[in-house]
Amino acid sequence: MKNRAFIKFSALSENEGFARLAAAAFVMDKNSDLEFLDDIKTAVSEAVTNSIVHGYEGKGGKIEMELEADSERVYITVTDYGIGIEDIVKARTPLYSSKPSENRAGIGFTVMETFTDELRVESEKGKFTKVFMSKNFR
Amino acid sequence: MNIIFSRYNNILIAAPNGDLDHHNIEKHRQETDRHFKLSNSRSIIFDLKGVTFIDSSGIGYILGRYKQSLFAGGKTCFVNVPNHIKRLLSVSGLLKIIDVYPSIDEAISAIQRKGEKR
Repeated sequence: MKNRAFIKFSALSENEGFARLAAAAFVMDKNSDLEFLDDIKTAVSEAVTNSIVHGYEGKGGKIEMELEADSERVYITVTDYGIGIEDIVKARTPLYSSKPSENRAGIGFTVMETFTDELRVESEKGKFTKVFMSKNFR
Repeated sequence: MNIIFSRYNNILIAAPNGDLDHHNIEKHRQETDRHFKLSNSRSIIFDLKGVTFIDSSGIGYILGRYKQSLFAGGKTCFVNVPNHIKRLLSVSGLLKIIDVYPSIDEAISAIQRKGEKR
């Protein structure tokens, strides 16, 4: 049977820590390996930060995180209803950032890709962005 | 979450405690830059012992300080890199440009050796 959790929270940067710890807590029962949990935390943090910084451009909104787990893997979906991504291929290019600044390395999607087994991005300009990730328990 | 700063000659030693993530990185950047300027530093040593989590904003923060010390003719070093942040440091390419030393003393010696060669 699939285990599911659905969390909706404000697009505020203090919730980045909340979201990654919630995701780690959700999978802990299936794989409590520290490296696995760190990978989940890192990937979730990047997705949520993207929604806050890019989706809502720091103006706030609601972020939905859906967690699902079966015996083999965890599925994580992070959705925001912000400005959307016009060019997903470009957004996923390593070192590219639509808002280059001091603290932005432009590697968010690269990190999500590296720390999970599957990454898909769906978006509609002006409507939503949905980041879907899955990671095998072993 | 805070950073403890100390200095040795023109080397700034920054020891962050807690999460180096997007939520608190802007504050860290400002504080680090202020200490870097005030102390007339050229090089920076990041003592990462107390870092509990790092994301791509944390990488961006370190990369920015690395560039600063490079422009100042200095060097950037890591000491005490915990296992749980090693992977992101490596994936981001930071470990290719920033050397890791086993202790602050050894990092300081490496920076001083570089200074003599100039």
